[in-house]
Amino acid sequence: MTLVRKITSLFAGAGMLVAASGAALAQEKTVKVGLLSDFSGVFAQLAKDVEDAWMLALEERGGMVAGYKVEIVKEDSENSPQAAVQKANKLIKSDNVTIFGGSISSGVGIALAGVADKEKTPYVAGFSIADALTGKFCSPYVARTSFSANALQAAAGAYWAKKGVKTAVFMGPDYAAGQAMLAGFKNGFEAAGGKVVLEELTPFKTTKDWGPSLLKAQQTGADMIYTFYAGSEAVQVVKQHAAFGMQEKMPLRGAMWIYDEALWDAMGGVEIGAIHVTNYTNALDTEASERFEKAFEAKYGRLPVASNAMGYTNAVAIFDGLAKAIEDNGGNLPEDKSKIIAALASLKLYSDPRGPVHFNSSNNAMQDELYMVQIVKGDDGKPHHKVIDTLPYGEDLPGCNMQ
Amino acid sequence: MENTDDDSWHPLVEGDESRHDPMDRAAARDQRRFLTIALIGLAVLIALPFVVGDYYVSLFSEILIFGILVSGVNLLLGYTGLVSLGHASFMGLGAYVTAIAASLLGYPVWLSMLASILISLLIAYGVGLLSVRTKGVQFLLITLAFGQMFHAIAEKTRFTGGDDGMTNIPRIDLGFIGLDADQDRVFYFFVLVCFVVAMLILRRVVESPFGRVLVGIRENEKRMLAMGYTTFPYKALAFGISGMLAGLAGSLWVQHGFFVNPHIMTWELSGEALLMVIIGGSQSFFGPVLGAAFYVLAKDLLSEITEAYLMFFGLIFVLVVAFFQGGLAGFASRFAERFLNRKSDGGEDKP
Repeated sequence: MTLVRKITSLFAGAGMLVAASGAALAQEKTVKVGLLSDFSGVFAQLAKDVEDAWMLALEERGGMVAGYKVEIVKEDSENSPQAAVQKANKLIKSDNVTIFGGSISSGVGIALAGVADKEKTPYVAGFSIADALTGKFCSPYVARTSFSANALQAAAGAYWAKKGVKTAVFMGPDYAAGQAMLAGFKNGFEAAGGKVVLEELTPFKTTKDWGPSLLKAQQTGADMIYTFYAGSEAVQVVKQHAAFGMQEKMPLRGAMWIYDEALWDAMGGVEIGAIHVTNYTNALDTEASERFEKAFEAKYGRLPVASNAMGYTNAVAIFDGLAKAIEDNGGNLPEDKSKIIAALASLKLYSDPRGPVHFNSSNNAMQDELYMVQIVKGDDGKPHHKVIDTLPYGEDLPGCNMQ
Repeated sequence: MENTDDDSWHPLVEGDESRHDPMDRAAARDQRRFLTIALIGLAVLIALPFVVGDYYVSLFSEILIFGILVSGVNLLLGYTGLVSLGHASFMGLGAYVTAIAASLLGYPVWLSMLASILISLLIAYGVGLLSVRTKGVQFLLITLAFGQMFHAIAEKTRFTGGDDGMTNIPRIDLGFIGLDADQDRVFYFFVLVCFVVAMLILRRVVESPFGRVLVGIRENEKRMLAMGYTTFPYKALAFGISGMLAGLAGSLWVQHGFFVNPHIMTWELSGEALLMVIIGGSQSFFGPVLGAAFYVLAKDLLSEITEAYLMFFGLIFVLVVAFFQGGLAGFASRFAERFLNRKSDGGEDKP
């Protein structure tokens, strides 16, 4: 958005300049879509990954949905709910977007869900995993294309219990996401007959030495440690766990964050052999994921990572949902924007790179496909993923009561 | 307030009762000047939502909310000479009290707002009692520590969603006068009413003998002690009032965004509040509000152009401190002074 447009929007209430520009725009039907993501702050890389995937999805549709030209309006939510609310207000009231999506952080996601609900403008979360987003705070104007913390971890917990793991130690950072992951894992694991014998929540961002926690875990004699750590914390936990020589007796499992591809270099080889759950890996050999990999590599010259796949599903759901809503409404955008979310939630994305995914109609949350992957050393001497199993998606936490 | 000669721009001061006492005369002039600025400002703020688009109405609600916060901060910084880095936590406290009372416990929002104001006053007063015995860097660090403590509590509290926070918090119910606060313009006017009330209270405080003592403390605390004032309860109460205004701002803030999470309590926001005060001018009653307006609007504009807008902020900050003595308000008043003096043919009324 340029300065000039900014000034015109400042006087939109007076309505002089806008009438003139509105007449010029009437020739072509456009739909504005907001890409509101954490482009600055700790999630900047993820936000960029999402944006790349959005642009690929848009290019594949020739920049159009159901006869409407798509105009993307990009805004930075700065990983701050305050900034996110302000930018969402701008997208809705100044840029007049029809729908927006792309957010990363859970706090931002929840803040945006509230704005979307009040302003009756659809919002599609792309990354936020907080259970409350499609639970307590669900809305007919909110959908999510990411999994929920509970569903992912409950599925993983049930998987390991069924594989014969009887006791587990949970380790994770002591904040909302860590607690949600713990609760989810425990739900699935204990329902399937396992027992969490120790819940070790470490102070978030300040812990450097996991020795005491690992010692405590060792003393329980549990069958495995299940973790949720990301970034530099993940690297330290994995390395210290290996240094304690616990890899054989008490393996360290988790979801994609703990053994993220981006951390492999820093882990220096100890990640080889580790097994974790994920909702996407570029080692998938389905037709849809191969096609996505090729298209992505052709456009950007590198293989997509999980965050690209997350962003891609987010964009596809938004674009195809818009297209369906427009077609259902006889070629025009529906007046009632909750119909866009309804159309989006009825999509069956059979050819999604993550696998055939669909939405849960009761809370508009995506029901993901999940894979158990192992990190193996390839012929080129570099680590990569090998899919060893698929597992059914868990259940979202209850609490959604949509009016 | 610093009694610089910029009081002299208004040449029409001729109060009978004040003719013989220069102190009274200066006060009357100051009062008249305050009223002029306040009425012009109020007229602009009332007219604004009829001129600008929806987005800017919500942006100006934000400015007024920050205006309440930074005016409170200025009671400490500008009037009492205390630099606090903990005010975001009082804003957060007010926000959480409203969110918990209105959203989780189901009390009406007006009652929740009163609770926010009272609780933040009490807690800020308590924190004030503990921290105002120190000064300078120690004071700054103690307020920072309290702020971080409240932030940590908010992050750990599970029934408010911890780090994730909570949304769908209702706005005040104005149904009894047939209005819906979910509409941007209605909510703006509600915030404006709160803002005006807050400003009147603050004005009353700084004009009172209590306020004079605060200025005395800023100028020379030892002398105030020597004159027989026990300064510390004055400072603690100033801290409490300032925290109360932050709590009111927080209570309005959750209604503005329908959302609260611990992010609102970060010390960065306390720092931003100080920045607004200094850019606007800490030696002037309305300076901080001007600073808040400048900060929010400049941020909005700059963030369109570059993601690295904070860099420009640093630059603006340095320029303001280096060249605009007394911040934007000081600059504006010197400008007005020069302009009006020329107009009125050098109507100096200095003795």
